[in-house]
Parts: sequence; structure tokens; C-alpha cells
Amino acid sequence: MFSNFGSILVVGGGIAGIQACLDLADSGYFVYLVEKSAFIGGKIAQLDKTYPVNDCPFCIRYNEHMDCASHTNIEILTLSEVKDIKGSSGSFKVTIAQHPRYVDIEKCTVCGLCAERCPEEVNDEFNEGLGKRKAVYLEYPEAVPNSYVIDRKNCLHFTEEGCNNCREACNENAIDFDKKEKNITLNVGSVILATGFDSVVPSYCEYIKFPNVITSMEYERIHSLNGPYGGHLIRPSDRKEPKNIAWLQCIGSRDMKHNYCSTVCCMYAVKQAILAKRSNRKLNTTIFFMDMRVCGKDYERYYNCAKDEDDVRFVRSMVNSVIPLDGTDDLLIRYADEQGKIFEEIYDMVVLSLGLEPSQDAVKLVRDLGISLDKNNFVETSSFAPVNTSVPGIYVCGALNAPKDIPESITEAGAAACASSLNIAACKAASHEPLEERGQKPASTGLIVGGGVTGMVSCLCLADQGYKAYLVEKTDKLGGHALKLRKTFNGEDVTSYVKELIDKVENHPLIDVCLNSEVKHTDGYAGNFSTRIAISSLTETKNIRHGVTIISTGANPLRTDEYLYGKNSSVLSWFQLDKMLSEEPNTIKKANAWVFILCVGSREPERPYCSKICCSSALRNALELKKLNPDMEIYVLYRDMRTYGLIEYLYTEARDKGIVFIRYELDGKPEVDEDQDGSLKVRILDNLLGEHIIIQPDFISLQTAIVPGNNENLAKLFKLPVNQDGFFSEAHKKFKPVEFSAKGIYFAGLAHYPKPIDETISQAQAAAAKAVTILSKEYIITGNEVASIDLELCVACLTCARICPSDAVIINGIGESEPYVEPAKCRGCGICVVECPTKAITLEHFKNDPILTECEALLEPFTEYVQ
Amino acid sequence: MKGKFEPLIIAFCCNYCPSCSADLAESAKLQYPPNIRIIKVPCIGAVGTIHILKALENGADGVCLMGCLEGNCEYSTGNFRARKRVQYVKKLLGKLSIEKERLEIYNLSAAEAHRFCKLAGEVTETVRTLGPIPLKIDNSKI
Repeated sequence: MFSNFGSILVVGGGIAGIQACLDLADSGYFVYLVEKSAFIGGKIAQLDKTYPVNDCPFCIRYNEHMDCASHTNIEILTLSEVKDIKGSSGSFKVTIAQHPRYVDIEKCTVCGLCAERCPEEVNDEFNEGLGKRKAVYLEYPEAVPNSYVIDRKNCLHFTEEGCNNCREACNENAIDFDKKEKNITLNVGSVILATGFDSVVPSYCEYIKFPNVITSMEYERIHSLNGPYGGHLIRPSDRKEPKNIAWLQCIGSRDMKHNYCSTVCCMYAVKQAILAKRSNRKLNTTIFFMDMRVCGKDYERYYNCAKDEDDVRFVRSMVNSVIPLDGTDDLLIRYADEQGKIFEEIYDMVVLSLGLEPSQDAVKLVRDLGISLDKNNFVETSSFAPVNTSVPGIYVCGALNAPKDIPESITEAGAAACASSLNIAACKAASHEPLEERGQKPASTGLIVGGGVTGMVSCLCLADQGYKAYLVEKTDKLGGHALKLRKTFNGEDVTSYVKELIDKVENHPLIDVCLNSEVKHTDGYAGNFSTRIAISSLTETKNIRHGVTIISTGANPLRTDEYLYGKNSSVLSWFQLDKMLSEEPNTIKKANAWVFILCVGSREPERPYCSKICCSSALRNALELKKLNPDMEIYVLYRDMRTYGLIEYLYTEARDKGIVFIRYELDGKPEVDEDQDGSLKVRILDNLLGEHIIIQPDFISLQTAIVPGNNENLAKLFKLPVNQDGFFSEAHKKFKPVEFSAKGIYFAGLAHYPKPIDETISQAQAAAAKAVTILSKEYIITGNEVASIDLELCVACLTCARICPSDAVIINGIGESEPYVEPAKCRGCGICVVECPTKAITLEHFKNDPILTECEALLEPFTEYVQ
Repeated sequence: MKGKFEPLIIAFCCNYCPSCSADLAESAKLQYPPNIRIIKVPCIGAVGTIHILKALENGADGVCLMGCLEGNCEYSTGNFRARKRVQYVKKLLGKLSIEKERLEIYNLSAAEAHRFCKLAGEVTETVRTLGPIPLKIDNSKI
């Protein structure tokens, strides 16, 4: 028996909770996963496809669900609720109430006889009430844990006494109605809250009662292949195929009660419209929106694709009513466009893009624990510790601290895993993976490339867990661009944070900082890399053996020549404004008017991506200017105001303070001129007035695009993929947000995509958490499906070495070792087997004979046609 | 042999996306012709000339390869290699006076169950119109 004291409790078995569990369990910690419902997986299983890849989310996450269920370091408690948490960081005592399942998970074979015999039919919550299920049910065939459950509220045995049909039907005797509720007490070191979100229809949406007005989640189920209509796009009232569908955005977001943006609705509406359109080209799809907030990686491209290729109609408007048409089930939408003109249009079906609220049960628990919440009931966190709650030892991830997308939730789960494990004494639960013959101990060292905030945070995470870390920085000091920043969006002081961070890194005994240095060469595989570093102060290069690599090289603001930048000294860019705010407040106090121009170089044909941080940072600085000089007129010229998530409050505050917002289109960019004396003049078309206006500002601030640094070179050195914009490509855009497809190499920060400091820090922590899963292993684990070379047949022609996508074939010169395949690198694709001209290579599990035998066996002719 | 001709088609499916699509089609109870017989391979790039020709020799009337979308190969270039190889084998088939249309390669994502079924139907129809493969040896006559 091991002590449970070193264990961790994760509350909530959705995507974030599962990811946190796996990251911790893979690093050797014992985890309890408490889930309220009967199955883990959360909302992900209900989704049809994910943007921007249009993959089936469940297909990809299924392995993780199975891993979670079968992991020796994870204990899943379904149908359980946390009643109370006592104690303090490092030693919590948790009381959990576990409701009975009435079906024995061990015995249930999921044959389905019980459900067949069950007489009681109820609305299926998994299908959002659009279909029916029995009182004994399995949410969907692949649900984990894979066992039926009896819904006590609806079961006739409990409601009307005496129905024992299911128990009689069960051949395995798995059903036991006498099971009682259990109280479980656990001792844990840390707690991670990952209870997710609810989507609630706000009270002002009275039109939800009409049958063809559906919520976004109902739409997901309708469009889903395993949904109530088998993936057939039909409307609920008469089961007819709709000819036109409208999406209404910002339902339950950005209103008086919810002063925040739910972040994900724009993208999921775009996705739903694209998929609807692709299933039926004749369909008319319209999205009624205020601002299109598509600010993640590749989201802008997806949006452009919807507009240009899939012909989805986007209407910038405010919808004021949805009215049913008498005699039909159609709906009339009345909306006002930007100029305030009223229009009416008729639709067959209306989808409400519902916003995200923190899950209500969780809010009660969180409040009881004394964790501070913001006014929207999201858990409060700081930008510099994005997963720490106000109670030490309790961490948060996923949509409980702000509405967020899947990649950010997974990233935060990793960050929470990293932060919570630091909290635990060294008493890890044993997790010895089965020993492999070729086992080799991994180097317990990490290499971090890039010494900005991201790199430093990753370094500290590794070093605090007892691993040595090398930090390679190109310039002569640590800190990167953060040295030039003043404040975060929430107004926290960046300068002192960075100073403190540098101090910690420089004085940590396990961190070796290499300034003025560059990576020259790298080789190896997860657990055993060897890298040569050139340090300018040394004449010789330095060789490092390390187990993992984290790339955190950051990005830079674009140097533009638009809008007189570089010609007129009153046109400023990112850091110039920050510098002015801290050094020249008097100049600001004297200024009469100030113009911010957003999307300079972003969202243009040559750079079709959103730089994500410009809107929020412009508003933060505009408010700072207003504080210094309340009489100053401030104009923000924007294309879409993308203050996503909780940052929406900045937009509200800016409008309250009288900052003027003018929207422009790509083909009607503002024109900036200067007079002979250098005074500036901005001419722009005001959409509200429909006329050009002229502003004479003292200063213009440009929010230029964020462009990747020198990623190409690093990509070549480490053999990593970059996308068309020059940012590093992750293994999966949605579900693997800190990993490359090559094992043992991770990334974090702006080298991946522009992002604010809190997301950067959580990504840095998540990368470190992933790194620890490799460093903590006793042995480097290799797969069984690896190729091997028959030296009798090999003629060392180098074909395999050239084509191997993993660089696993090692052929040295004459007199050195024989050619071989490095098992830790080989991923078992079998390409070399086929390409080898002498057929010297074989792959375990993919040999020619079994494949040809399978082929022969499959070619049995149709018996019914043979006489 | 009596009755309608039913072609036999071997489909080599990459273990990544196309197999997912096939599984998805099965779990959604979508129908595709029983003429398609699937062999899962680790990567479509691992299907060699030998596999395709042996399948045809052993009695398949058609062979199709299902790989991931171009640019989406887990092993970066497997599906390009397969495309090239299919072109090469088509040339060989031409020399053997076998219709080139009996061999085809497709690219699928992991979520295209409907497309998988549609392609399966199309392949079956194409091969059905071509008739039995001329290579087929009638064992009863030997």
C-alpha cells in the first residue's frame, strides 16, 4: 500500500479534467477523478465536429478516455460529488458522496438486454432532449466507463415499486437495487477544479419556446451521425430539411447580465454553417453577429473560407425579435443593420449561439471553499499564475475561470497538473511501466530554447521538480519582449514580475543559463537528445545531453511602412507607446487627440491571421491615456473588436469613458497624411454616418501584426513543422496544443501563435508538465512496432535513411557500426519496408506473409451467387 | 458460375484517417457494398507493389488505396509515395492488358463516413462495369 498523501484530486471529468489526470498520472502521481455524471468525457462527446480541422472530436479523444479508465494511477469516481474540502495545501481531507450506479461495472458486458426490457422511456439528455432513452442506459456506445447505469429518478423500481425487468433480463447478475449511497474520505495534497461550463438560455430569449428555434448544442446533436436524426439535417417541428438557417450570435454573452464574451460561439457558428452548407449546397446559411471574434490559430482562415468558398452569409447586425409565422413553423427575424435600418427575413430554422456560464453546482462548491469569484462567478486568477485560485493548493483549469476553447482548456489542464504537482511532497505513487528489453534511462535534463517569460517559466517548472534545465538565449539578457511591456490587460505590473522571474531563474541551482548562445546541431530522440550549443563567450561549443526540448523562441511585432510609420515621429508602435506611458507622462497630458489603428498588417491577404492581442492591448493603453489625461479625445479605428473572454469588460469600460470606436473595412483603410509642420491628419469613412470624417491627432498608435521570429532555422535544426504563416505547427490543432508530432519536443508561447501573457504562462507550464512525463520515466519506452534491418540482405544503399520520416535509420560509415533502426525513434509506418530495394527491412506486425494471407482470406467469393 | 457478377475489391486503408472514417460509417450504421474488403495498414505509404499485384492475382477484381488527406500524413509523405506507386502499378497493369481503372487511390479525412460509403459504392460500380478481372483462373477447368 502506498500513501495517498501524495495524491491529487481532480474535480470534473470533462476534457480539461481528463487531460490533467493523464498528465499527472503519466508523471507518476496518483489521481482521483471525481465526476458528477455517470460517464466521463463531458461535453466533447456531444460535439459533431471541431473547428478548424472538421475532425470528429470524440474519435480523437477516445484513446484518452480509455487511457484514463485503464491507467493504474487514476481512480475514477463517477456519480460522485465533492461535499467538503478541509485542511490546507499539501494535506486536504476531502469528503465525497458517491451515488450508486446499481449496475456493477465489472460484471456489465454492455449487451443491452436491460435497456431492451426496460418499460420506461425518458428524454435523452445526451441528445439534448431530442431523442428518447430508457431509464437504464448507456449515453453512447463508446461511453467510459463502459457500463450501463440506472437513472434512479426515472426507474420504475424506485418510482412505482417493483419493476424488476432489467434485473431479470441481465444474464450477468450485474444489477443490484440495494446499493446505497457511499461517503468516501480522501487525503490529497492538491485539488484541481475542472468543472467546466453550462449553456443557459437567458430569460430574454422567449423565442426559444418555438419548436424550430434550437440551441447550438441541439444543432450539434442534430448534425451528429450518432444523434437523434442520424446526422440528417432536419428541423424538429416537421422533420423537413430546412432551406435556410439563421444563427444568432451572442445569446447569453455580451449583455447586461453577462458582461463577457464567450469566446467560442463565433467559431462554432461558422463551423456549423460550413458543415451545413457542405451537406447541402443549396442551403442558405446566415450568421447574424456583432463582431466576428475568430482569434485563434488558423481561425481567420476558416472564417475566410466560410465567406469566400462556402458562401455563408454574414450580417453585422442586432437582432431584435424572432416571430413565428402563422400557419407555418417558419420564423421571421427582424434586425437592424449597422446604420440602424430595419430589415425582416424569413427562416426555416434558427440556431441560438449560446454563451458559456460557469457550471452552477461548481459555483456553490467553489464559494463554500472560500475561493474568490469575479462578478460573473468565474474563478479569479492572476495573469502571472493563471491556474492558481485564491486558496493555496487548489487549482483551476478549463472554462471555470473564463470561457475558453478546447486547446486553451487542454493547455491549462497541463498547467494545473504542473502547478499542483509542485505542491506535493516527493512521495510519488509508484508507476513502473512494463520493462522493455531495450530500456535505457532517460537523461533527466531539459533544454529550453528562448529566454523570454515562456522559457523562464518552463525552466522553473522543470527545475522546481528536481530536473536540471539548460536555458539557451540568443541575446545578452533574459526577459525577451516582456522587458518592454508595462502592464497586462488586467493592469498587473509586468516589469516587476519579469524582474522577479529573472532573479529566480538566475539563482536557481538547477538552472544553467547560456546567454549569447545558439543551438548549432541536435540529434537523438525523446529521453536521449544530444545538442551542440555555441556560446559567443567561449571559443568552443558545448555539448548537452538532455531528455526533452522546449522551444519558446517567441515572436516580434511587424515593422510596417504603412501610415507614415518611421517617417513621422508621432506615429508609434507597440513598445514606443509603453515607453512613452512610463517615461513621458507630461507629453501625454498635453495631447488633445490620439488615434489607435488596429489590424495593421494582420488579417490581410499576405498575413491572413489575427494577432489576437492587439485589440485588448490597445484598449488597455487607451484607458491608461484617458486616466492620465481625461480630456483627451481617443479614437480607436478597428475592423472587429476582438476583446474575447473576460477582456470584454475593457471594451465596455472604454465606451463608458467616452473613447470613440470607428469601424473600417479592408478596402476602406484609414488614410494618414501629414502637413508640412508634421501635424497628422486621419481620414476615415464612418459607417454610422456614411460619410468621411477627418481627425487631427497628436499621436497615432499602430497595433502592428505579430510575426514569427526566425522559426525557419530552428525548424530545420530540430526537424519541426511550421505553418504557412511561419509559426510552429502542433501535433493536433485542437487536442495537442503544446506537442509536436515528434516525441520529446514541446513548444510554448508566441512561437506557436500570438497570445497574451496569461495564456503564454499556462502554455509554458503545460509544456513543462508534458516534459516531466518523459523525464520521470524509469526507462525510455519504445513501441513494439519497429522496423529491423536484415544485415545479410542490406547493401547500405541509404534509401531507407533518406525516406524515413522519423530519421530512425542510422547508417554510419565503413568500419563503424552496422546499419540499424533506432527503436525509440521508429514510429512503425512501414514505408522503409516497402521502399527497400533488397527487401532487407521488416516491420513487426506488418510482415508480408500475414498481409497476403489476410488478402487471400478476404477474397472468398460471395457464396449466395455460387451454385 | 451463375448469377450476377459481383466484384471483389480489396481496400487498403491507412490506420489513421480512412480507418476512422470506415469505423465511423460502421458505428453510424451507414451502408456500403459488401464487395469492399478492408485491410488496415500502418500507413498507406507502406502498401507495396507486391501487395497490390498479389491482391489482383489472388482474385480481387479491383484494388483501392485509402490514405489520409494530402499534407495530413502522420508520416509526412506516405500518401504522396502511395500516389506515385499507384501510378507506377497502373503502368504495369497497362502492360498486362488489365484495365487501369481497377486500381485507384483516394484521400479521406477521419470524419468522412458518408464519403467513405460513397467512394466504396463508386469503386464497386466502376469495377462491376469492367467485369471480372481477366486474370481470374477458373479452378474448375484445371
